[in-house]
Amino acid sequence: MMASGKICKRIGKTLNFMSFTLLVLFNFIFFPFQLNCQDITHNDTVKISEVIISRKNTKELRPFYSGVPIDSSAFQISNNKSIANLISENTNISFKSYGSGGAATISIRGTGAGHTRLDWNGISINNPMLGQSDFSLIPVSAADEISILYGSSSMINGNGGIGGIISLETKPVWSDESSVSVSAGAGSFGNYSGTAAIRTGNMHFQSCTKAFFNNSENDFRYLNTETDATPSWETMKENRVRSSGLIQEMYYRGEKSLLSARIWYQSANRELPYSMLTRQPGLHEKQNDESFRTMVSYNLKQGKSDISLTGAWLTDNLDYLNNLASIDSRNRAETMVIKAGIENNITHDFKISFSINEELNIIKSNNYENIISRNIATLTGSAEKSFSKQIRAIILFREILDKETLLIPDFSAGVHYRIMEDKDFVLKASVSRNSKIPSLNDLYWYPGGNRDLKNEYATQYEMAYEMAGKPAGGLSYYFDIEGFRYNIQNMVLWRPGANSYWTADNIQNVNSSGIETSLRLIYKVNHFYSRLNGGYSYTRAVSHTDGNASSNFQMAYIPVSQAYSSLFISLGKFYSVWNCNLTGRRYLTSDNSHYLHGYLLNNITAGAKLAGRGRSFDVSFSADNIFNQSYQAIAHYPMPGRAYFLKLTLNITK
Amino acid sequence: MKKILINIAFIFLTASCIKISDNQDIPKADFTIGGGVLLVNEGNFRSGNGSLSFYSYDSLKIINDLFTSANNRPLGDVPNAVLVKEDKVFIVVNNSGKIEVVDHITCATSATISGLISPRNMAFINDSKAYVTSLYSDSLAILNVPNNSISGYINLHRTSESIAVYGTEAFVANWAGGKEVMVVNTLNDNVVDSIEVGMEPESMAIDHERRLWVLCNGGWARQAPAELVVINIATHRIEKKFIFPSKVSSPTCLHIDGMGQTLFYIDNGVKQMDIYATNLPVPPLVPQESGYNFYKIAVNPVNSDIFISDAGNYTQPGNLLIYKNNGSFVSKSTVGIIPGAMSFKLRVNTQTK
Repeated sequence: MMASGKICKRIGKTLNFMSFTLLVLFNFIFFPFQLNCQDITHNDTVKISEVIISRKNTKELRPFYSGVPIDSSAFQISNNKSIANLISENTNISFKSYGSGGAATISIRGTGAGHTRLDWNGISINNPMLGQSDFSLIPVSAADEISILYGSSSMINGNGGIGGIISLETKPVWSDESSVSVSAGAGSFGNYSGTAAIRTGNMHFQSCTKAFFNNSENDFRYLNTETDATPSWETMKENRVRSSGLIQEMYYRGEKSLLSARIWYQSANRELPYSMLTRQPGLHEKQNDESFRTMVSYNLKQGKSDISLTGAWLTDNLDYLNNLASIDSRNRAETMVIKAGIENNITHDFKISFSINEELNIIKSNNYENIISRNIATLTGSAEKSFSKQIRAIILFREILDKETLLIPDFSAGVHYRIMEDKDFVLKASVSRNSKIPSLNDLYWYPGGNRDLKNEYATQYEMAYEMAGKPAGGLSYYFDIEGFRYNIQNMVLWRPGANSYWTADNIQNVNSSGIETSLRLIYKVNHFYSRLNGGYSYTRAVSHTDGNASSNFQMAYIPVSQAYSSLFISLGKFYSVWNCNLTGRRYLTSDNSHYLHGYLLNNITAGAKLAGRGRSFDVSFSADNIFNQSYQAIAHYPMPGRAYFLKLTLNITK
Repeated sequence: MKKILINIAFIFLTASCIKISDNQDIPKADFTIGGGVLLVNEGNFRSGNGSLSFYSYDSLKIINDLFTSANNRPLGDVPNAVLVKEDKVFIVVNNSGKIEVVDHITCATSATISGLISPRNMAFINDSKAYVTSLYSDSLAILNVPNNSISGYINLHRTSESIAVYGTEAFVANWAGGKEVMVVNTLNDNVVDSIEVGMEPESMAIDHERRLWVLCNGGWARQAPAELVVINIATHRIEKKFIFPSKVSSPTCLHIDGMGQTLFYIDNGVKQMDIYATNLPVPPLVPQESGYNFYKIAVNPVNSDIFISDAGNYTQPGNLLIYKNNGSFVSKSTVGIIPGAMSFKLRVNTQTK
């Protein structure tokens, strides 16, 4: 009887959970269709993917700052995509994409593309000429972990990330076993890709070799409503993308030390997609990107101190060809970085750290008048103190030497208050001054570069409430809500000037403020596992250009509202993911007179994983943009409709 | 606790399904009946936000977004020129590689001439033929006007910008990086001569003395001082050169009044110069006041009213400023982003009120 009572109790809990799951599914299923019907008059869109994003427990990561790590399971499902796809489908971060295969630039919390740093194991790999990264070029398979550090939280990693830092990490798996993983897939629009990874070594030495390639014709059909009086279906042409890369990592672990060496080579050849309004015969725009990145790191734990030393040499070649305009733009950027740091736990509740970062950029470009070099040295110090079991605080101070000029110091101060000692109910607040040096193109591009540009800087205020727990059985949750306000001064913008040339200028002061919230629910019992992630953000980014009338207008391409959700369910060998991503209206002009409609994207992936002795075989099928909505992320650049992809993955471990 | 979580989840997910409002205010098409000025707003390069405006002499009001209102689609990327030919208006859309032919009253498209390479300006040779210059192509395109089609090309071996026609000759300026004016016989479409002028000849005008005035802006990086060059149309020889005193000077947009007597151009304001003047004018007729950014001008051929486009900061809607020929201010109207070229659609006896 007692046993049956427990069973009944469990069944009851399960039924409760089922009713909850049904409610969630109802919401998931019903509302997307509802929106579809509402939007039937739009030419808007959708996008999808099959990744899962989650926040780690607040105790695990940066107690005073906000950051979103992307769940590792997402990598396996999305390893044939770019990190632009991975992030946009699973967070509230927006991207400006020139269509499938085209460049994708990021915008975090109303900031510009140049305000977000892309890091590779702690070193910025933003192109120093552009001051930003093209996220469409970075494959998900290049990283083992991706973390998103917003605003102030990015200052711990380095300077320049007013919007934040996207941090790519590669890490060894300490084991005596060797493993091989091969994944290949093919899908719509001439898209096929493959990845391979070989890990071998022992408990002291590890080698990891990764290779990847991607080819896509991107010859999707789209409805052209803009060129002719009568809308017509057309096929995108001259939109091929080919990319490939190789990563080699080696790690040696001593008793208290870790020595690592990494090499990353990557190339991409792209035919640049054209706007529906700019088609001209003989345009043939092409871009070739080639990057070679090397890094050596040494970490040592000595007593209460952690010491780190990293050296990196990065090269980026970017060649742009435009037959019509007879442009053959060749650009090579070399960057050398030395970074050293020490972290000392003076007492169990007091920690200080110092780091120095030395970066030298050398640019050879036929768009610069001379070979340009720039040296930036950064000294950062921070102290972290626990005043009780509930209150902790951190203060950070940074001084930047740009060539021979000492800049006004940056700083950040944050406090973390655990409301109840034994519960994960946490209040966090921070205030920071975060600056960014103009990119080298901003300064030296010919024509239009402006050597008199001032540095951009932002005063940033952030406040958050987080809660996490395990209220019952296999159920756990995480919820947070965060408000932010960034006052960005001297924002650099390129604008059209006399004689049709564009010039860089400090023309805007921008106030960006908003609220973000996210929720994660996990339920697991026996062979059943489900995870629901979701989030919503409201962002008001308003420019205050001297003497203009746009003071209360939303900045171009910054959506006021964004939301995402993903539901991952696995039962035994089978799994499925449903992603929804909503992007609100984006204004195109500073007076908000023109805009792009919002769009809702739905992606679904279903698969099965068959495991045997030391082997596993994974087959998955995904459908992106399942409602086949037509939409644009950038005005007049069509995005693909419904697309399918079949992927097979084989893992062998010995 | 579970109920709270369920409610949070429900609210949260429901919030993520916000309906996106779709109410775009599309201006109604007031048709361009009567006299006035058609103006193309270039918009931002590759943004596709070029537009067409009309200033009505009858209502003294501006009507914006005419093309979109009439055709329910955008005009294109960087409309660079507009010409009125009887009951049709030809809009040259540079970065869309096309010319939209629209009705002069309704602005409804009657034809789209596509397949042009970076077209910039256009000139009618006669009722059936027109030439179109190109920023990137080495050739002039020949248009069959009645058929709205490209009938051929004239290879100049260099790019082209402004064009002026007199008699049986067309004068074509090689602007971007160039310093020549090419002469084309319009009867047989052959290049017959080239005239070396200053660096980057940007705009041209013909006076009543049958002389071609060529404004050379000296190049973007001010490689050379700007020049105003006077060419005898009959002999193709340079009669006179006015050298601007400073390399910083960047004069643009040369125009002449309806009598072919008085020149106008932008150079820190709008300057006025008689064709018999011996020196360049110093004080502007219309000073460029703080907050304005004079971009293009046009001169009413009947009453010499001066129309100035103010591009502002190039990212917001600009203004159309109207001045009397004595420099006195008449009116200011908000138009589209980067207002540029203008063309008059006049009735006899049309005057500003």
